[in-house]
Amino acid sequence: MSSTKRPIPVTVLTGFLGSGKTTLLNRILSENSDTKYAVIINEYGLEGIDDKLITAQVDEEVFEMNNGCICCTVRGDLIRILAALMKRRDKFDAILLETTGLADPAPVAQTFFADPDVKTNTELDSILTMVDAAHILGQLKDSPEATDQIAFADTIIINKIDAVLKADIEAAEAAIRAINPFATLLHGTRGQVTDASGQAFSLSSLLTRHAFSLEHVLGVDPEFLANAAEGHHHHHDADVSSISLKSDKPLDGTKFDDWMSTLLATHGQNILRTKGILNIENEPKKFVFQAVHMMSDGEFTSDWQPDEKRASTLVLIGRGLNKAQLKEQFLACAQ
Amino acid sequence: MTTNPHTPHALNTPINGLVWNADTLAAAGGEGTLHLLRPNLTKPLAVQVSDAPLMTVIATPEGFATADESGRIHLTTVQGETTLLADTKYMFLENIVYFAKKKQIIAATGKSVTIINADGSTSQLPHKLPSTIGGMAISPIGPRLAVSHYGGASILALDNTKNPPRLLPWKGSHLGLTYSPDGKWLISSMQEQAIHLWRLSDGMDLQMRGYPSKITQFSWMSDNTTLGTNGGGGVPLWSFATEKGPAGTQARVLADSGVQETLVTSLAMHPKGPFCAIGYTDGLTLLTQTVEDRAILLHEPNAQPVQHIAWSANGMHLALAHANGTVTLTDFAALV
Repeated sequence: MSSTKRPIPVTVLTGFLGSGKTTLLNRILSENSDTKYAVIINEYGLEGIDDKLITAQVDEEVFEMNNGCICCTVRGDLIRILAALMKRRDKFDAILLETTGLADPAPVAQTFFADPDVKTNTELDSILTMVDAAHILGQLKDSPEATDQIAFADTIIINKIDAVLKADIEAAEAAIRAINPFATLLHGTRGQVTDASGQAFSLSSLLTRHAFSLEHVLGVDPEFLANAAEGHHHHHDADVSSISLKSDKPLDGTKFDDWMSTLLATHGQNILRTKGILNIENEPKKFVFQAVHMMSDGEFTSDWQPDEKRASTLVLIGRGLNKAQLKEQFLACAQ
Repeated sequence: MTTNPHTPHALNTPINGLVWNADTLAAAGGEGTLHLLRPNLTKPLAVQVSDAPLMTVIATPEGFATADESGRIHLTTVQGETTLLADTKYMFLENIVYFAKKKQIIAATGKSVTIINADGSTSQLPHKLPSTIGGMAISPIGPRLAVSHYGGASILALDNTKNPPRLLPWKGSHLGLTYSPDGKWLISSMQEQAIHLWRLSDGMDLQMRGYPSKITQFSWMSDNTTLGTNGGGGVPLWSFATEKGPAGTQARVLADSGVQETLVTSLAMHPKGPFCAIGYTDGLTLLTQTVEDRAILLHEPNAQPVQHIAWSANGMHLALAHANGTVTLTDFAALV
């Protein structure tokens, strides 16, 4: 019965053990009682969860897609469970997927791009990453998983801020921004979530961010790419960083397409996420583009407005990005 | 005017399986009900089998066996009496087959296989598969069970469980599985929109690619050598008439929609004659003559994908389930 309905939004909750994922999850579930959730968990049972909820426990099964693309991995367990959930008559409004602290977010995100059935029935709403304010700097040094979870996130909650000094929060924010300039950064204390200025952030809006919808990339978040800053220079080349590319000259659509396809095919393993709003020559509409590793999605969305400046912005997050070369190649698409 | 050969029944639930036992049709409902339908019966008999959604239904000599979301297996007679056979406790159990020789139901429970005897007692085969099992098939010529998984398929001996499995390797995730009716070939459907074929005499294997979507259904023609699948714009016909199978040949395609978005979602070959019922993503259903590829209309497009099609064993009745939870019975005699 999925065919006539809108795809069901899925929020992926990542973060290291002890970062406060379960506390947040329980608060979301108890506060949004008019929304019916299916909860998919990985490592342990959730205590005190309403037994009316649909809960499914899965064992992570990462499958390589046999299509010649080495980084193209999907989560076989998710494909199976998401299809099985569609067999219920009693439906749910949204799905919350909690991953283990050590899970690689890439196969999770790629599952939503690569599997035709998952794509039809569900849509990835956003990746939400919880970090512990006191431990994140150490974790970023020691574990690539922490870096990846930040690189893939659309929303990052720096949790337990009451346990650290203001300077520590600022240091955590700077380190996070160096990896991922486009995620929304929030603060958390004892299950309360606020924005950086201390305003309360509603839990239900955490679950309806539409971060993977191309329209959203463009509309709801005007600050989005404009604010993207380049990574700090004290990081090594092998670290995860980002680059923001801009051009006022219209891009040649074919050139961009050729460049991006080649770039993702050859370097997609190291490019974690890509997002862009592009001004294509002779096109009245904006071209919105995004990718997770090699898997990309792009389309013309809304018209450029008469009072709007036609410009292109593209942000890449990746390991060991050759920034000078990327910039040169991007600008060459405008000639 | 003859009478309308089609009788629709709105069951208003996801239909998670459709199977005939003689002249009784069972539809497994996503609300835990097994809906029993018969031609000439105006109203389906709704048997509340479980409080959990039914994930699939198969036919057994006594009636039907269902698997539900919480892992229980129930038996239901064609009259509608239902009993709990066993509780595997495996969440989202959706893969069961009937092993006639020993009157057992075999269930894929994660990385292992559970055997359920007629008295409800259960045991597990000792083999641990490399991943969660995708599909299962019983060999038509011997007491063997094939299971698909990540990295290929394995054939398990059902008479001597101490025998090590025979691994048929091929990289990637293998989902559905079918044996050719002569037992000489095993065919899997894959995560990457292809089918994989193994010739069991020597392990030679072939990959058939080029499908625009995932393949989830197989159907063998009554000639016992031709396989059709869903997942394409039409139904590709793969021939296993020679030792080489379809190697080096192009599939003949039946009833190609010719439209990129309109794909075959379900198919069922007629059990006796040269016909194939084909349902599409837009709800259109055709009855195709397989030799000449001529078709008659069974169901107009209704924007509801066809999810299951099943012929009764004598080929006189056809059932099809649309995604909106409607099952339509068609009287073949009134049609042709």
